[in-house]
Amino acid sequence: MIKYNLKSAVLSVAFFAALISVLSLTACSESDKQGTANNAAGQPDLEQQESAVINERAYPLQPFWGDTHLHTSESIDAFGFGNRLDAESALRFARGEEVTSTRGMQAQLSRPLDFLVISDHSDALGATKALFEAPRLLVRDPLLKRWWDMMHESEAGGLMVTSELIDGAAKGTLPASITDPSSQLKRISKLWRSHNDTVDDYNEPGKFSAFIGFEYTPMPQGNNLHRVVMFRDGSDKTNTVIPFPSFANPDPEQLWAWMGEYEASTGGQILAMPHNSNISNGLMFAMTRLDGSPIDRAYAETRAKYEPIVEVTQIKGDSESHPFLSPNDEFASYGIAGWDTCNLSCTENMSENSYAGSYAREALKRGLQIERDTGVNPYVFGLIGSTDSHTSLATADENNFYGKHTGNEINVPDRAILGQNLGTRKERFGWHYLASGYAAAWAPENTREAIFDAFKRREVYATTGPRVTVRFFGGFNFNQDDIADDLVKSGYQKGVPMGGELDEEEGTSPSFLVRAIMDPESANLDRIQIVKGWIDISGQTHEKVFNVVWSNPESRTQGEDGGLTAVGNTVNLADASWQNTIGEPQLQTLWQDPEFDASQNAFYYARVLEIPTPTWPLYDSVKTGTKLPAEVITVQQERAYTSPIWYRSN
Amino acid sequence: MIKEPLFHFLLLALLIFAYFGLFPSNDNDQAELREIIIGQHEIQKLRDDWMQSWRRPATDQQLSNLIESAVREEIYYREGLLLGLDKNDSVVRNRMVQKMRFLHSEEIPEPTQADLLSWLKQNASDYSSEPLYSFQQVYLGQNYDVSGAPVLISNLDNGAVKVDEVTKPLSVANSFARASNSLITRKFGSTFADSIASNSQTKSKWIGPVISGFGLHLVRISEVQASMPASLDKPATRQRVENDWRAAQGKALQERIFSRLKQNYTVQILNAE
Repeated sequence: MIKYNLKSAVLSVAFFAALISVLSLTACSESDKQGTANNAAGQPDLEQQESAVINERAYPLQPFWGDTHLHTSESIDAFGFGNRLDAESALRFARGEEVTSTRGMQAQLSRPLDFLVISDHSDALGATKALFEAPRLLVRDPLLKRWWDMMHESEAGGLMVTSELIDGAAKGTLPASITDPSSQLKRISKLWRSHNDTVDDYNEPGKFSAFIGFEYTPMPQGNNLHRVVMFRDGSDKTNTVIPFPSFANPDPEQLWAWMGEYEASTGGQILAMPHNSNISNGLMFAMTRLDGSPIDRAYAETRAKYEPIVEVTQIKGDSESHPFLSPNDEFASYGIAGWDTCNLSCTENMSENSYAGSYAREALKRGLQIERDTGVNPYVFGLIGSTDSHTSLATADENNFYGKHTGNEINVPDRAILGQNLGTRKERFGWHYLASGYAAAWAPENTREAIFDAFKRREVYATTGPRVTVRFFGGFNFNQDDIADDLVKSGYQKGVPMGGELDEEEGTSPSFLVRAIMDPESANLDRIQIVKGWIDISGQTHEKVFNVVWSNPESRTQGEDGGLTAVGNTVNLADASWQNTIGEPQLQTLWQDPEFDASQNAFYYARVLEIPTPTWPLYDSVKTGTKLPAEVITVQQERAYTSPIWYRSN
Repeated sequence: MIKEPLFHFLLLALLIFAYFGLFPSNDNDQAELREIIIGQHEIQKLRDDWMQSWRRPATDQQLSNLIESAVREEIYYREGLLLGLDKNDSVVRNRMVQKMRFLHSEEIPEPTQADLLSWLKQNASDYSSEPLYSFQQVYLGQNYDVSGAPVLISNLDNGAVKVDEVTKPLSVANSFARASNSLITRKFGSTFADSIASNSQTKSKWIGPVISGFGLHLVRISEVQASMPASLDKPATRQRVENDWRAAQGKALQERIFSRLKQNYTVQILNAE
């Protein structure tokens, strides 16, 4: 009988082989026809003419909005969390179409995004899905077999598997079948290539830029050193590599070397964006290299070249500043709750001593110090926000927030108050996670090239979700007329935009043009602040936050210390509504640093605050009746952070 | 007796038993089943795969590991089949169902020009360009007393006041030429964009107040350019049509093939009663 089975097996194999060869023949002849059809159509290309005109514009007219950090079902943890939506769904959703979420809701953004980077984890790409679909009898590793059982048993089991995966990655205890890339090479390279083709198909120059990317995810002892890697290129170049795995190459210096090889061998361009420095336990912006050796000029140059941008705000908290580091900054605590006690997987507690290496403002200051010692600033980065959503849905609006992962999508009851942990240790709750953020890019047109180049020159900014328009220019020759006239034109003609650098001009104090326009679908603005960081002659760094322009100035006065009376609060906790009766739709000013010292290197960036509005847990509780404990944050001031402008003395 | 069907049946059975009795193990078959050949062709493919993924040649050690794991995989696979591990396993069943679907999704041919044209025609509104609106707007702020609007409107209409004189400061243009709904939404929010679209018949007259995210406005629409049908000559449109066509074909093809397969079966569903 065995023999009979074998024969039939052989027969069916032969049958399928024959079928496949017939099918591929058909495909060949069809694609030939397709080629002819394309050639025959050879008419003038209207689209290209239009974009040629746009190219000639002297400066960007509008910010393009995007998410550079999104996971689909191919990410090892996203699938475990339950996500069953692929890249195509993610792209359609970001482009503004309605998509059915994994949990069956009809999901749609209030406004489309202009660009999207799909950044699935390079490590074990597609592995959880492959494990889930594998025949159980062939899963030999006892741990994988256990995970297989847990995933098939229940949704909660799948979530637990993901927690154990994150723990295992933090502790370095994952089985070789997951950590060893060569054993998965076939699956990963096949997946990667077909993924790249899909992203190419959805890239629509002038309308929607779909970027190829991945996330590089080292986390020694659970200390987050993650980077999103973004390509400027299409599949013709990206298909020649596979996304760089971190299990075998845990030091970011290895990533930069790989990026260098990629650029050299393909002529393409690539950049990396660190994120969640807040849960890196001080490692992300350390004063040394990862191996503990001192930072030298070569390290600083390489890091500055490949990491021009930091993702400073996202679902897992905000990394701009911390009250411990900035005791005089009354707004430094946004997005801190739940994220400053233990690292990513909560395998290690984080002390206050670690914070200096974990927050972006301090890193910008450290950069000035390292520049003094080595001649080069490794931390000369611009700022963006993105979601890091694991649902394939790039949501950052408080009233339309699909959560960190599929286990916490919008229709999960009580998600704001339930425990939500990334490792197996219980520490965090749903409400700690932010509906944040997006990236804005000042690019002359919506194409991969133009947007990537804006990132590269740091002409980008972060918001925690609202699409506030922010212009920020630095220069030595601005005057009051530049505000009344064309601020943007003056900004570009007489100065540098956000991300730029100013070299000393005979001791002149630089001044800054700044303008913020509210998101017409969000709230009025409270104020614009300029955050200054500098280094003194002894090598000590300092910071100061200046209130430079604010709403309702007739009733709000500045104290001697520069402090300002609060804008007020119109949020009605009973129905999660607010009124634009406070704040203003637009703020702008010309500001000159009153404490300028020409001999001190410095950086300046703008922080724009909205008036107080409800957080997503409040929207949830109004909708579902969930009672929120007192510690849950229900009202917040959403914000935008621009990339800095640096001043260098001679 | 020769005409007796039972006799035929038994004879046939006897022959089958005799066949398997006489040739208990077919050496050729068996040898073929126990033989694994990793030839030059296979080795080259392993080398190429490695090269493409790692952009450096595999070392002898790496190559020998690759071969070793290919052999291991093949032996496990064949032994698994011998043991019948594929039978009665729900996961194998599911996997095969998936593979059958995948097999068929590969069957979607490249679309012809005619396919795309007909898809475009059937779904014209999904691809046609947005209507474009040329308009002026006066920003009245957030605390405007609306009772003053009729007078202001007539003054604007008869030229007694100009836009520059009455608009409040806001860094959004007062005049838009051929702006799409998406652009208007981006600049003013969707409430305002919807108002423009619904008032598109009222041309060359000031109307309002119209609400936006910023507050109140007066608006004067001068020209509306109707939406234009899309053409495949534009590469971006062509690609979008192709993406959507392919997604729809995948679904339709699956249904077609399934119903063809289903024709070969009689399905009886026996209700409990």
